[in-house]
Amino acid sequence: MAEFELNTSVFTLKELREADFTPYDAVYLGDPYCRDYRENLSENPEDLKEAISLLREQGKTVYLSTYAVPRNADLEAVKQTLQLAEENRVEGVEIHNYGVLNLCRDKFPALKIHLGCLANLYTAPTVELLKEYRVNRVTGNFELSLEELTELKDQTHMEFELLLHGKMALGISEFCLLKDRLRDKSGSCLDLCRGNRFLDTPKMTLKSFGRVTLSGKDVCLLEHLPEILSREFKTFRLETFGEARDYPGTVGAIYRRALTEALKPDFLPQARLSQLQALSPKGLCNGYAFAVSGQDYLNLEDREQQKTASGR
Amino acid sequence: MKPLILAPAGDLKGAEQALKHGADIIYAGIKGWSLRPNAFEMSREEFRETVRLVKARHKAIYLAMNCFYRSGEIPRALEIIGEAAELGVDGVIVSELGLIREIKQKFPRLKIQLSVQISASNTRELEFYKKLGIDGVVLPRNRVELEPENLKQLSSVGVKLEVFLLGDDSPNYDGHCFLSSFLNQKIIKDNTDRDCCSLGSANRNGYCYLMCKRKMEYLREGASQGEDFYLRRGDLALFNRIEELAASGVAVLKIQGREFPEQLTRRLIQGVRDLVDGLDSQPKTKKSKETLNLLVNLKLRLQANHLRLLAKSHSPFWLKARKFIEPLWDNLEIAAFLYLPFYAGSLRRKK
Repeated sequence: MAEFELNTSVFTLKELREADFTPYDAVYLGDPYCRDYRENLSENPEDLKEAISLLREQGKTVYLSTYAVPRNADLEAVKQTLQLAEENRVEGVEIHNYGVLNLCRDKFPALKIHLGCLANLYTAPTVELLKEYRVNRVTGNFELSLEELTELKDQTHMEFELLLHGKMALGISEFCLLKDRLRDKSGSCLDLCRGNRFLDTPKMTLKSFGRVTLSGKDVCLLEHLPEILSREFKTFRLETFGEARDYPGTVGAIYRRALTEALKPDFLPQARLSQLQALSPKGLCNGYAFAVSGQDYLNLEDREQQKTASGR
Repeated sequence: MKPLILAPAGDLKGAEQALKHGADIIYAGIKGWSLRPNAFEMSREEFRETVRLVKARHKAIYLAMNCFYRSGEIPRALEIIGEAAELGVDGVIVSELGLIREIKQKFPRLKIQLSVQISASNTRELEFYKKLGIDGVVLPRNRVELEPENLKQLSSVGVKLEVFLLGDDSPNYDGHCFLSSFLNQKIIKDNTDRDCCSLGSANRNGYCYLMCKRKMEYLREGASQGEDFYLRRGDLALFNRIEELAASGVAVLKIQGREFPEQLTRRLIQGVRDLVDGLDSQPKTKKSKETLNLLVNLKLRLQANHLRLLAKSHSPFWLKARKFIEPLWDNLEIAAFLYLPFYAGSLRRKK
């Protein structure tokens, strides 16, 4: 068994069939950011069953994502998603909302629970509280730095998942920006989100996807894998949803190999970094890993300078 | 039952004005520990004075401790809450879930209000927070959450519902928007007793660069030219829905604006007081609802919008400029005139 888990998320059966998920150990099925299209695996029992069996044939671990911001009107559908997860014996459900957490704990005792990135987890006392709700894996709020996450992980002995690469959720809304606000009718729901449409300002670029606003830049921590592994993180996410068909396979393969080589003295990520740069038209960033603006990119040299300046 | 009015106090004078003009409860923060720039938070001494004042008037006061803190700051946050409890503070507004149980255990007399940053949006979620020990929750400023049917369902949980009467109609749920810190975040040690200040993080310090108010460009597939738009939709103002909100189970009407000038806050509180007092009377109020709505909704809301922009631009220049601009707001006509360019801008955006 691998010493780490590399996972990603897939929202539709079509995407699962078309892309290559060989490099991944596990896959989160279903779109937590939008309930408006029927192809969403977390709400489509038939497609979900097929997706699960496809992944199981490949020896993958299967998780299911639940809708991130359910209102009362959505609760019944979310309950059905949890039901599906239980019936299909998925290895865990990802939950972003504390109402869904409450529901899952009360009604679905067999399900393992992962806390998603939009649950605003910042502190150790909150992690301790979550343990009582059967949460066994968490994603800290993206604003937490690598250092803060390490402290939290070591203090609480909780499994922390880290976003290593891909677009980062920067906000979630009650409406779909493209459909409801911009009234873009140039394609179906699926086309709109997956198209090459960005929201540009002179200082940053964003991407709207369902009800979530994503970073235009891709988070990339490839260069920093030695530091991350030395901090003993073991669960990693590559966000590949909504990207071109070859993106999940290419990015997954790069990180899979890098993760196995990162602790060797001759780890040289530069060539692979160039490959990743070519796949990210709006550029790369480190997210909040190094306690600077989310859209900044610190290379190894910058990071060393930052450590020296802070005396660590 | 008539809803209570929860009003802001950025300083002692603001607290005095709020109480004088009809607030039932006021809320304030201590420098560094609430989601506002330091200029609109109180020193310990000023807060102590404010609590004395509130108690002398037999009203209530909440301490805003609504940042998402660092783990290492939790003990200090609890100390501050403990000091406030000793002073006689009635409740505390929090966002950090890990704090709730600790407060409940250590200071059982304190009421715990969940901040709007939580964006609680369904009954199951309220039940979760109720089990933790909260007494009230500020609901997100979204249209669907504030629909009467939804409010009735939420109020059935038995947690006091609080609603902001005025606010940004933000594109993202409160507490779930990281556009500002993604754009620009600096972690500094400021002059407060917090470990550090995350300038740019709306969740950790309340310093938001308001990306939603900046012009963006969207290029449709196949289009040769992008189109301008703003993420933010405008302001949310619910002054004309007070009766409906009360009937749907809303117990507390919250007025935003520790950073607003005193004159503006005073008018807002007075206006809301008139509306609440007029709930039982026929005709509804001496001033017609329409007049009050026009007063509050148009002029004050527009000023508030503009001033909030000033307040949130953290440059020392704007903070100084406020001192000269603020007295002018006392005259609504001058204020409306000064506001015209911004009003035109907001109309363009709505289009």
